[in-house]
Amino acid sequence: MKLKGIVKNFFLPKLDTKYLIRLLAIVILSYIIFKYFLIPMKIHGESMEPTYKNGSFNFCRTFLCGKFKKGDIVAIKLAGSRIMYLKRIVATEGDTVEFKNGTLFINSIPQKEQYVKYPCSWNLNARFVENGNVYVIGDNRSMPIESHLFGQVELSKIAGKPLW
Amino acid sequence: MNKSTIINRIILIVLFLIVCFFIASYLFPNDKEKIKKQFANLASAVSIIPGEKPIQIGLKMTTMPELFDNPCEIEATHEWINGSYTPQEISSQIMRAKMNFKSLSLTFYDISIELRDDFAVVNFTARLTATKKDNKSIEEVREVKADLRRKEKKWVFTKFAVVETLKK
Repeated sequence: MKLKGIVKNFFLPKLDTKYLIRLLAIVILSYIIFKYFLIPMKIHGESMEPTYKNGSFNFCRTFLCGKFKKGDIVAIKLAGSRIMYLKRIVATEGDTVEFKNGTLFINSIPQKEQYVKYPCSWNLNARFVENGNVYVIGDNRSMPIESHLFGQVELSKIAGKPLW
Repeated sequence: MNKSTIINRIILIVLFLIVCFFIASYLFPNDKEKIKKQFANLASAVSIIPGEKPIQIGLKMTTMPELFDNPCEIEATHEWINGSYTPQEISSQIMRAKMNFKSLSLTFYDISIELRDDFAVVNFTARLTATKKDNKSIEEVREVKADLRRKEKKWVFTKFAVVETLKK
């Protein structure tokens, strides 16, 4: 009888003042969490395939990200955080980035990138990563270099990392 | 009057004030709301709504030049598009480009407005999703900075500049 009452109260609570205050607190807390700490994101496009599939869902974790390093996948803000780019950091400040026949060279050293699964034939002259910047590229490099968005971006533009 | 009745009355008053605020902001929009309205008008003018009647397209064509200043400057990563254009030139270019698409949707996100008297600098993210007549899908996202100025009680676009977030 008591259990039945608890279950009933849980699913059909009385709409009293206490309940409304609890509801308001949950709404405000959810807004703060999902606006500033765990930003929900739906992935559009194929630039991070096969690591992140087009149409998949994730959260952008904005806390406890530490110092961003090579290999990290990051969400990059545009005018705000409602639409972001998802890319992988391949080089940090002071490095030089170059592509020769699809192979990435960092400081003239060829890189073994396990996460790149599709064939790539890109060529790009060496460029220097400026202070306070990182160099980001998508994992899917099967398209022509002109149609893939990549390059150096200021660290202040990085919103966080995907949760998984 | 008991405590519960007082709280209920406070909740009702707060709800009433919120409704009044929304009605007032709808009836008497401030400059920021007027600018946001111009963005909504631009998005509507550029987009192709499925099942749109030719008369609606014609109406958009005639009202579109009212959104832009004369001249209106465009600064993008593709050099061929950079330059100053008249409102009619921009409108006819948009209409010509629209002919290549079956469906087209332009949406603006994260609009932040900085007002300076009769001028405004607006930073936003533009997202364009479209399907070409050959069924090829396109999705482009860019950060854009736009300048607007007040012209006879209306806000008009004077400049669009694409922000290079990722520098190759």
